[in-house]
Amino acid sequence: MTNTFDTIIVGAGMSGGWSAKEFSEQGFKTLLLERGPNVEHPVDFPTTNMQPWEFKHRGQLTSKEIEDNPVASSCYAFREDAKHFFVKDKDHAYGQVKPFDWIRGYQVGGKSIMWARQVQRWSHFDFEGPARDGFAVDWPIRYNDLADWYTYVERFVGVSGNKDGLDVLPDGDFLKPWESNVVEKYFSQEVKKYYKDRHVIYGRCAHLTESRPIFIEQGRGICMSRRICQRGCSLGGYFNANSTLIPWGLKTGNLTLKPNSVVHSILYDEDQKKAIGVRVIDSNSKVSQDYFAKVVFVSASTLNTNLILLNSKSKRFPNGLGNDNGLLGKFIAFHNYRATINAEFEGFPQYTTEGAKPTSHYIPRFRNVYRQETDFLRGYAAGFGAQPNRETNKEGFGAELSNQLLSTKETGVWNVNSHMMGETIPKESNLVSLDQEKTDAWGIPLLNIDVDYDDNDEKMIQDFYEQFSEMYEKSGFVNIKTNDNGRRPGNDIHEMGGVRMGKNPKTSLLNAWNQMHECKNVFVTDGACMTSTSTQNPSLTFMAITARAANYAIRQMKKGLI
Amino acid sequence: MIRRRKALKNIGLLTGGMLSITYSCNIIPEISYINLPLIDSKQQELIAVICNLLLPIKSETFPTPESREHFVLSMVNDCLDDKERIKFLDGFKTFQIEIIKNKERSFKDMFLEDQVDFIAKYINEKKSEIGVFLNHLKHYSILHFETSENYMKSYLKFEFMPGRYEGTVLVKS
Repeated sequence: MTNTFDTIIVGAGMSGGWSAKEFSEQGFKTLLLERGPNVEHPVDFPTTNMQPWEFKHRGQLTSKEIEDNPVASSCYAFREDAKHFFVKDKDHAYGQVKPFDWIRGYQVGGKSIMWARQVQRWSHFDFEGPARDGFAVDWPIRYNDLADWYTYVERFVGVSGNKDGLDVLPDGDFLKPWESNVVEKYFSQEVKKYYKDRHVIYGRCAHLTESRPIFIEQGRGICMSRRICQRGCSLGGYFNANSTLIPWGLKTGNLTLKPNSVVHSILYDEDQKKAIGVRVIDSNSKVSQDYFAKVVFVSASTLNTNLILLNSKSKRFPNGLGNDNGLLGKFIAFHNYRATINAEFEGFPQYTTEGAKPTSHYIPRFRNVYRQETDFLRGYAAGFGAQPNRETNKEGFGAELSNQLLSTKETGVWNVNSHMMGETIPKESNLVSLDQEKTDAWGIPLLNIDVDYDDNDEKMIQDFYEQFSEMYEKSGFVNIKTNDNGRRPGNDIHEMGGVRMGKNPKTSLLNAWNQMHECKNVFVTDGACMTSTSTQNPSLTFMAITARAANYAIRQMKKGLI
Repeated sequence: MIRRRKALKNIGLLTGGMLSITYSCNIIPEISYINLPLIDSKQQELIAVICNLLLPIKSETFPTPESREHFVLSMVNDCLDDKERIKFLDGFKTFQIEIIKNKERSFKDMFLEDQVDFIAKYINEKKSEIGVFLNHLKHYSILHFETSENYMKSYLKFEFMPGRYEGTVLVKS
């Protein structure tokens, strides 16, 4: 295999997958590097068609797996059916200056195999947030810069949703939604009745609810709402990079996929004053090999992207590539998922549901949207779910117990619940750095993570409890209980920042096109580029930003400018 | 018999345990559990009897890939942490001692009424050694039953590929 390409992409998750698609489709010889093994759709989804009763532990983890993986096992999807897609704690150590759950998926497709598939657009309120509220730095782009790219991505991904007409959560190019249930509809109406600026809408999700030629061309089928997406879907019913972007790129003949390739660093040429490639260590043989290209796209997942750049040291950049201002690795942020609320509703005892759907409802941010109204900055979105309650009496033993289990029935009561998705404020003190002594199995310094909640997050949690308790009470829900689940930072799996975009090279690492201010042929397009976090699940924005940046780089390359 | 042997072999594969079949007058299946080395085939039979008393279900009506006792023991072996597993084993030991002390015969040979009385005496004493043991058996027996194909489909409305969601369905009276 030649080791010279037009473009090298680091990381074969959903961000890397998008740049791989764009470059290879437009005729550029592209190398896509992935540190983990290949996962090919659908043959490498070993549990995808297993029935619940076919699992030895019926979905549970063993006590040893929990003991060996305190971080990975904290993730809701790290269960018997999908554990093989998660990084095991002992295989890939990192330093926790403060508790941080770094949930990772090292394989082709990355975390796009096990993600939660919620895809909400950002709005202009989100991109204008830092400038308006005086935190982080101003985003160098606005919603209008990204709107067409959102559409571009949605058309390829397939997004099920309603057109809700909300300025706080712009509509996209949607496939039809699944039906809302009677309590979801009721709560939506009640909230509308009592609040002008609060909306309970269908949670837009990356599932195919109807076919289009583009999906047929991808070889994907309609989602059958199995709700076991974390195993990988043999039908291609939800979006992951394995069933879409990567085979799409490979079909062009221009894409070379190289799994088991741990990127050590980006190579910088002092004479040419630009990056010339990457140093790769084979994850199995540990043999080092350099690869060369005109342009390097880094999308190794937020914190690994930070790690690679910090480890890319040269005479010109002794503190990491492009790090003249010393801000590389700083201003890491995430989403605050600690607060939950649940209750019961007795309003529709005559109704139940049948079938299943892979999404629930969503309440876009309503706090501090149009003006600052609380003693904390920004706000939170929330999920909303409503399910018929089923009662099974498990008291006693013998025939009595058997009969009780066989008499299981719906009670007529509905369980309702919400969880908070809070924006956290990026701060210089929330950072990652390279360990000065410890290295991993490939000789790369371990990453130390020093990230925590702050007072703004605590105030936001209290506000969520108050506001949602009020909304629940007004809707007639009873037995309302709030809960702080104690989730550690990182457990949201929405870590962002460290290589933020901005207008000024003195205060940011990337320009409006995700191009490093100080090294123009290196682009960062995964979560590391994010200047702020907003409240929305970020993957759709990562993909739109990546597609935009890749096409910018392509135009520049065609002009011979990079 | 061939079918039974094949089934036992499958159980061995499913449980990850080591299956050894002793060819004698009575074929006694014995699966070794790495964390339960002292549980022999007779004790496995005893566990089966207790589980069936705790939750009597016709396995023909609610078939499962593995027998109840082997599912329960697999879960105890793999999913209980060391502390809970020791409690389980202590409870099992005390259970057997109590039987001998009180009845001077094996549990299996006791009258059904006596078996039920004995379990009833301890099942609600959840913190006692025997209570912990019995409640682990009960918990995993229920899990085994509730995840059987027939129960999931017929009683919990489970559909593997529903392909639809209806949110306002009138409850059938």
